[in-house]
Amino acid sequence: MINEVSDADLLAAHVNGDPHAFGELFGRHRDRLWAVALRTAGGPDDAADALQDAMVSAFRRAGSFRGEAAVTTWLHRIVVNACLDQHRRRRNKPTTTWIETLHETAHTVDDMSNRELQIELEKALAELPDDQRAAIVLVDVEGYGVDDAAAILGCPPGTVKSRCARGRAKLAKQLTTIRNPDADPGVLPKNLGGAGHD
Amino acid sequence: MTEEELQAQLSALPSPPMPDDVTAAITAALAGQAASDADGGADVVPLTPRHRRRLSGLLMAAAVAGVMMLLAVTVQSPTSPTESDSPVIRAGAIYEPRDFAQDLRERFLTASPASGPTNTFADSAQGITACTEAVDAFGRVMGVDVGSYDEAAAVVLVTSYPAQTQYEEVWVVSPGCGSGDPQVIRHMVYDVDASTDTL
Repeated sequence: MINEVSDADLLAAHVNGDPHAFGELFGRHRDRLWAVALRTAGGPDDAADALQDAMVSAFRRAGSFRGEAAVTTWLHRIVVNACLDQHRRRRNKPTTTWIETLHETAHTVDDMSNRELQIELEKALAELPDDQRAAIVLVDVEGYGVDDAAAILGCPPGTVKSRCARGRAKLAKQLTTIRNPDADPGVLPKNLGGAGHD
Repeated sequence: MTEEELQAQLSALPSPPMPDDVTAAITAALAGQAASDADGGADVVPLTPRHRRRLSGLLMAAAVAGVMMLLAVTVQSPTSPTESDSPVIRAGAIYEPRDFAQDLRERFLTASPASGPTNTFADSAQGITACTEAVDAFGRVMGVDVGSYDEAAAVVLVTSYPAQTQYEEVWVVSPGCGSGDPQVIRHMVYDVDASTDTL
């Protein structure tokens, strides 16, 4: 059964000429790669372009994979780099209208206020600096451990923690302002007061 | 909202599956790449649907683009090659389709400039920026050669490849690229490491 083959074995099979191995690998991880790309690149069009570029790159340079990290980490690293590059190139073209569509189609039972909060959270996430957004998407949204996120982002674990802390502080501050416009925006929420420096 | 509440909200954000059209496009791109490899490691990556969309109107615009080629001269001052981030301008190489990869390496990527900028729109800073945007090229512009391809005036544009230093992306475009619809004559992705051995 092909599902019993490990990711590393699939990649090795691809390098050795198996014409179906990389497609199987892509099929296994496409949804999670898409979720990361969607929020890192800043919208579905850029995510699609960046993800396609990244997959072609991974396909071509599979032979350079040395097994020092998990295959999924390697794939995510290529995807995140491509997405950040794409986002930097199109920084002057914000695309946040996809967020409402995402939540309309993804939620059927959430109450309206929770959905609205999620939409505001997505918009605030899109406004974060690239490095902070990427760290939060990997750690808080997708559930990667700090060490895995550090491997994907190519930075020390401490840097990932710092970026997450600063990003969370900004998110909390923005959400507080949105939910309570009369609140002092200079007052950070509980537990986040010391992480607002940048 | 506490940090824990915020993290809970973040982890509860929906993660939609990859849309079918995106899956299909990537699967097709990978299949094209596999077919290219099966043909002997050709150096051309099949154009993606994104690029095909851009190219779909080019045939109809070919006549207009030809006129633009004739008009696209002496519009802007050339890019200064002394700026650290400026692309290398190498003018005048003659490229042939059959030997393009070899020509590119010998006459552009590893050769000294045949001459400086040509004072055309194509190698002006404005022209280069407009052209890269028009063809939707990736990455940083590394070099521009205003020469000829297949016995017709053409510009060879070399850019870095996103996230991968192993590759460079090469576009052969009309001299009027950026001042009208981009006339992409050829598009390829170089494997820089492999090119050392195989080109």
